[in-house]
Amino acid sequence: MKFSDFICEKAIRAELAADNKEDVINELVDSLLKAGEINADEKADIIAAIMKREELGSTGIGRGVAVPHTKHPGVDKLVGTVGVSVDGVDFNSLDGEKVQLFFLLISPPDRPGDHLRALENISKQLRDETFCRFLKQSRTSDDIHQLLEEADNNQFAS
Amino acid sequence: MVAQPCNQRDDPDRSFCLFFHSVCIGDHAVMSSAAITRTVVVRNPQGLHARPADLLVREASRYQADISLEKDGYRVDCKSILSLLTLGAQCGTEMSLYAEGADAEHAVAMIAELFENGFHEMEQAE
Repeated sequence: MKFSDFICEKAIRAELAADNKEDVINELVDSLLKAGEINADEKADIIAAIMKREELGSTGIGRGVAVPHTKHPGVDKLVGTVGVSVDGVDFNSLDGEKVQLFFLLISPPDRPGDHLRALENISKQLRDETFCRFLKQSRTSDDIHQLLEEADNNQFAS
Repeated sequence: MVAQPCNQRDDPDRSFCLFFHSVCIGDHAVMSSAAITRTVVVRNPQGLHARPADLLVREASRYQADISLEKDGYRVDCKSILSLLTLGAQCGTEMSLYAEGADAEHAVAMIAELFENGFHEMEQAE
């Protein structure tokens, strides 16, 4: 699975304004709403579900990366977006570090395989330090999108 | 590395060990660090997603042994969540669990149990 298979280009956010966990999730879900990927009346429910998942254990998986996610019947295919925070956000991540890179995923309840393949792709690409560093340095959504495209084209060794 | 197996009651070579202590430490140090392997299968329907990976890292990190998981010839560190997620292991995936170090046997037993129990999420809907 490639980034282009599940990351909504229009919903990518550089320079996130949020400075705490709930606001980051809010900002990214709102971005998916504005991009037309989710319905307005389901936004609050989706945010609540993602926050509930965070309570089971932070999805901040280390290296300044978090993958907040949930299953929700409001989507019929896996949708996701990327957000970059310049200063980083305290996300209770597993290694205690602030999080700068967010990959937010919403998947249909009956498609666990797609969610796994998205996680597999994200983690494989992020093992490349150059890709990770360039993403963190991105200041526009175009820059982020271009990096994802380059990763999809195997321009970062993995 | 600490060589302690000579004190084990069930060690058939104990008397030999006590007699040739220096030799014994050398031999048993090698024995205790021998890699232990076991086949594990992902049982939970959601597969090895973020939460099970987190559980695995927490369990594996309790041991000194080097622990790794191998799927289709691709082997990753069981103490790194980012590495575990690169496996993309779905329900039904068979993998080899390796551990090497003084507490390898215990580590393999406990981690294999996590797989058997479906990472405690067999009954609940996520």
